[in-house]
Amino acid sequence: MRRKRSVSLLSLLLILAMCLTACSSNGGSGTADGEDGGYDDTITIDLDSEISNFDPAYLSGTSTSRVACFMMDHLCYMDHDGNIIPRIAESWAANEDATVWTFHLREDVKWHDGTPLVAADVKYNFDRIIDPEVAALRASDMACIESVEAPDDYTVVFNLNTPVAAFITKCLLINPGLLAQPAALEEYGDSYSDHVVGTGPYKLVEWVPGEKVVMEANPDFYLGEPATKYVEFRLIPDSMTALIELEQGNLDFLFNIPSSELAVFDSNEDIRLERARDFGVSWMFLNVAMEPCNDINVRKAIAHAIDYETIYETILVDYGVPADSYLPDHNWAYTPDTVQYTYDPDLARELLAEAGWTDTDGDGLVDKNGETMKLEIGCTSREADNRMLEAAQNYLRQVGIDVSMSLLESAAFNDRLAAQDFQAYVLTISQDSPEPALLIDFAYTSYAGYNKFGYNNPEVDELVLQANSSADQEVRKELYIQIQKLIKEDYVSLPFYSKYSQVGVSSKVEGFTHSAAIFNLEQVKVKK
Amino acid sequence: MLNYVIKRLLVSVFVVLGVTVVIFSLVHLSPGDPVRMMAGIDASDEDVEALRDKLGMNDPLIVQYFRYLNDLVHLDLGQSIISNKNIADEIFTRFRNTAELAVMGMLVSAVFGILIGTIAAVNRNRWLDKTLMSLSITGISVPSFLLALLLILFFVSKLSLLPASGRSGSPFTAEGFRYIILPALTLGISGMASVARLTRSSVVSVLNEEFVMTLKAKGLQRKLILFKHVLRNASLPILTMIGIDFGYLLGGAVVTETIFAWPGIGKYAMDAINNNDFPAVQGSVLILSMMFMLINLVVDLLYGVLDPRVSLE
Repeated sequence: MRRKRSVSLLSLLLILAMCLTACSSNGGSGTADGEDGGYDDTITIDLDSEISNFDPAYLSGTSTSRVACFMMDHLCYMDHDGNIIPRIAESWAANEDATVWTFHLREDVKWHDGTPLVAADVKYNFDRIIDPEVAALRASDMACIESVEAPDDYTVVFNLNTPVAAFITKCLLINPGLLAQPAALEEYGDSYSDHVVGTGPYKLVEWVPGEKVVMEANPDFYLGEPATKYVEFRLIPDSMTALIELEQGNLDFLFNIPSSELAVFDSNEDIRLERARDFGVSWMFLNVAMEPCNDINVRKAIAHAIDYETIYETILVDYGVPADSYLPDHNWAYTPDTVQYTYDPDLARELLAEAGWTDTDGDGLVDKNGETMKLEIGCTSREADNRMLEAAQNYLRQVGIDVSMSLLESAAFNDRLAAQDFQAYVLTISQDSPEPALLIDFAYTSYAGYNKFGYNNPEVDELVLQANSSADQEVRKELYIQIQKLIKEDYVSLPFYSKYSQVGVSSKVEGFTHSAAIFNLEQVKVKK
Repeated sequence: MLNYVIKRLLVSVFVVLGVTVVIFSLVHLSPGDPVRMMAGIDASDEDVEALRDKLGMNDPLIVQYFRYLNDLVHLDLGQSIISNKNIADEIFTRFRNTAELAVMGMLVSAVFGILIGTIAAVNRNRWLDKTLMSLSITGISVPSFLLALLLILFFVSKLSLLPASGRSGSPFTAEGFRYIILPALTLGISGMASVARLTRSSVVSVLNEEFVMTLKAKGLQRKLILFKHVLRNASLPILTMIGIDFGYLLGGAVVTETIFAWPGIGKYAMDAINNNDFPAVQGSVLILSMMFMLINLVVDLLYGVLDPRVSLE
């Protein structure tokens, strides 16, 4: 009996060992069939969060949008520098005041099921997004579209109810501007996400929720079949695990890089870090509709109390480059010629005193009418923002402002932001396009979606309207320079840095160019 | 026994009803608007309102609750607000994955825990006992995220023996089995440590009982006394602990599932909570509480089987 038991235990261990060794040789990604010329047939990319929905009307989140753009196209495309280039639309023109936009479509574009794409399909997509019944997520971004016409099979005309010079970037290149086949949308309804039919370089093979999205090259893609047959997005929520998978060669691209582990890329020859400039900026907004930031002297004091340079050098250097305006310095409309928020704590104290805030009770904190100045700053859990805010909190404390940080998970943060309930908050906006309207119009006009800090400067609104009405880039640049100066003089938001767009890449990857504007794998091959 | 089971199942209906009230209130009272989460900060209030209307989220809470209850009676857990996917299907798949992991984790903790505990008890107060018990204290104390990373570091980075993350089909295939080893070890090791400690104390106390002396006096073999009589008598608290542990494991170990990218229900419920995806949160918590009740029932029934003195009436 005893012998029998030890024999069975031994055999169990043996089986375990055999399984381990038998399978351990099978490392690396990709399937065996279909490989050619020393190249793998699959590109594997990490996903840090679950796919939300592939229906353009309800698609949200960076990860989902990255995956969706492989299967569905916008009318136009951006090149690596953020310039708009033809895609489905081979040419376009706007009338003089940018209220009528006419697009001429390629005639060789086919949906994944082989049927040709015609102008009526494009019209269907945009009509659907602006239909209140559909309640599309970003319908209000397309509120400027009055009607869409399809005069012939390859011409689409957008009639706008207001001039929009940046129509393509503001309305067409956003998630709801992705084109889905009308027949598929109608046939599959709520389950369209499992049956995506687009015109993009890859077709959906399967979406296994919680695990992966697998796509196969579209042989009929109008710009030529992609170089690699399959693309697989693997959901790996933990950034450390994902990094190890990249090191092990099980991932070819890694977006969710743990910021504390950047040094790994210097020491490991099998992987490299590709860094590009993003067009967004990280700001601290001061709520002008609430005490104490409704007083411009308090806002000025806050702006001058913080040592941006030291914060950048000690904390932000791995995350991006310093910013001193509302556009990053590589944007075509950027100007360095604005009021500079220099670090001057004495000036900050004077400004606070001018506003009536002094330290009367000697506790190191300024007070007015017996009340200490308290400033609650909201923030999400972005590591760079947290560390930056901790440093800023320290500087503000030195001039006597009692700062409390409210680190909230995104749902709670968004709720309070929507209620305009923070005295101040930090927001880092990612932006893939150099179009200034996407940052300025969306955050600093009185009606902007990101304007949750009560800012209302009619002059800014007027200049934005003018910039929207002109198709001349030089004229627009001048206007946006004026706008930047105006906002900066109002001391409503403090620019901290413009972040990098980073991706970890396996050294086996060939033919890849990284940019914040697009993530294009049509020419990418992965060596075995 | 049948009466007992029926009685317990009837009581469970009321417990489930209670769970629906609690979970419905909790998700609706917690801050965070799912539509706002989907739409993004910069979405206009009109867009958000329009979608809330479409999803019926502007109806009074009581109306929403009864609509939910009505769907539930028809075995419909609803659709995810975020992905439009059928929640019952989603939960079923994730639950199967979690169950695989829980069973493997439980096997590790039960088999090795009982083995180590028994060895320690038999050698009580000797160096082997002390070493094993110190190790098990370490096992209980190491947080699972650290243990997971250490395992990955050793088996993946150093030895390149096992994959670091993901699930590759059924764990009953060789390839699938490789993927489940590390997460199952992570889950199993801390459970194993507690089972070992409990087994030791339980076995030690049974070894001191008089009937063991009688058995020895009768001249029964030591191993036979240990396995047939002592372990069986010591098994009730161990079984309770394994049962409760198993219940927790079925609830999905969020940390382990996240680190190993294991598509289980814990991660699903956590994502649903983060996105305020009400129907998905309600659905997963409901299923999990039902599983917990079921396991408790099974454990209670097993008491009766293992120890005839336990009466289930």
